[in-house]
Amino acid sequence: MRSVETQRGQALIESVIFIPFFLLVLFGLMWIVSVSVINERAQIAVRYSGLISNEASPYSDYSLYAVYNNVGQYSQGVPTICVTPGPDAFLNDPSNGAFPGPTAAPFWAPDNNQSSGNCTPGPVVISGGQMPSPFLLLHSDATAQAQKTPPLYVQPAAGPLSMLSAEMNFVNTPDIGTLMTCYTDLHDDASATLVGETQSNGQNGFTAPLPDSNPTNSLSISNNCSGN
Amino acid sequence: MSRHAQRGQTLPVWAFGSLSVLVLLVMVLNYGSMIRWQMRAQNAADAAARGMLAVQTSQWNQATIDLQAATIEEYRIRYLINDLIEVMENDGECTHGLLVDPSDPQSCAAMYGNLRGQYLDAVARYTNDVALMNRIDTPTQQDQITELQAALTQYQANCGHPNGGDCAFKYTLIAAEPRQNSYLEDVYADCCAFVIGGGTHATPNDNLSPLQIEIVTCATVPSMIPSFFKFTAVPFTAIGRAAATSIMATQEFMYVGSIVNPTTGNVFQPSEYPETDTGTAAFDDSDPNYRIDYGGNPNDPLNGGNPATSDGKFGFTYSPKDQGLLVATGWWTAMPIRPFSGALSSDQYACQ
Repeated sequence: MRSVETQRGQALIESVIFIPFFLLVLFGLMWIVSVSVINERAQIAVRYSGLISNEASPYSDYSLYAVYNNVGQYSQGVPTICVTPGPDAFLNDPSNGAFPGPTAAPFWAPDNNQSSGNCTPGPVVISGGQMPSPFLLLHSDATAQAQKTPPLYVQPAAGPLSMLSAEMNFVNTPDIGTLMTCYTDLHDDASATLVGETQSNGQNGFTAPLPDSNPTNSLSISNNCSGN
Repeated sequence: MSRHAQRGQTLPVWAFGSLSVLVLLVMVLNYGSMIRWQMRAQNAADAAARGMLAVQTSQWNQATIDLQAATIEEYRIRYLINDLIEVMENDGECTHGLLVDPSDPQSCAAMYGNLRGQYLDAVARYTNDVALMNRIDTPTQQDQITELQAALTQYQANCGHPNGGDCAFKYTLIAAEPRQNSYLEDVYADCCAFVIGGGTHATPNDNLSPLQIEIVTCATVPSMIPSFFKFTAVPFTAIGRAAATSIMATQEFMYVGSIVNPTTGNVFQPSEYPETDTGTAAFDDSDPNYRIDYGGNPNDPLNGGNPATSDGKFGFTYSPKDQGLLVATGWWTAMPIRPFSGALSSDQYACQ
């Protein structure tokens, strides 16, 4: 058995050995929590973008207003409005954005000015398979990303840089302006009537009565709207 | 306890403490991953539920656009016929008689020629409206659901592209049915027991009733907890569940001949002068006898008239004579609703 004298200071040595490891794991834990919060904010940001993109003004998008503003010389086209997830999705600085999330303290925020977002809108077509006719949708592809530099003590395990990102492609039912733009038969028919286009002053003569078997082919979608 | 027995106790304390924090770290990492995947699953389900209902809403909106065109054309044709009768009877302001130059734009003969041409054109356009209506899909409710399922299958197949979903998830349509509630809004109207398409407000035709659908997205995600020795962490399941319904986003009662379109600065459906080949009035008084005016009389309490032309004299032939044309439309979109299928069991859906 060692003497009492030789055991003196042993606890100190054990503590000296374990304290760095313990602190490394503890601060690593805290860093992972902050990264998880930023990851969650990125998901919320793309969700927020997806839910309100292409729905910015439903009162005029779903209206005769949209019909009349897409006939004749007027062609407002597809009202694709994409809400880009901005830095305020991560910071929620009340003076710099309108993202409705909780305010982020610096510990939970990305590195300074190291966050960005993107949003790509447009009409898309789904076709093929068992579908009887092409199917028109509006989509908005939102991405949000932020950079968080790991502390030095975590970098051996996590690398020098952490890029946190989220992406989601949202689809929605097309509004009236999109229908008017993408279904050319519909556009041409409404233009002819509402604006009085295709007037021949009777030069085209009498119109044949509706045939017994009317055409039943589906409305065609403009190539400009395939967007796939 | 003796002082001797306390020697070396810090080693197990530190070891246990460090191990505990390490385990906590991995659990937090895994929990963060679960939260992120869960939100991603919900985003995928929400997007799909709203989008797929275009099978129904687009068809109805297309039909409404076409009906609007047909309505305007029918209103126009009625006035053209009335105008033709007027000039044939030498009525209204047009000049007639053997000495009148038939090329004079104010002559009944010239007006007849122009009105006849406009009438033929209008009938041709109306015929196109009817033919187009026949081309707009009018599927039964069962066909709508079948098409919706087919669209979701293709949406899954196109994953990773703008016209597809999230490749990480399997999409399952677990419910599609007509929306049932105490106030069933449908394509007939919001009132009035109209009989359209074989149904009424009180007894709706399912083929014309708004659908509600519910979609589940699911993915089996490997755990962030590492495997060691004989321990293997169980993967977790990320499930998103979303429902949506077709809903009339806007119901409009619009006086298209008197309300000014802010884009054009003119009323939505301006007055027309089919009696001349220039499309302008033949007489200085805006031709109240022949003008096709979609507005009402200025003294009408509801439809105050086209500010540029309506004068309250003779422009409104059909009853109610002073109101001009009122267009009632409903425009459809999809909106999220609470899932309605009750408890979810694992045999209702598949996971990626």
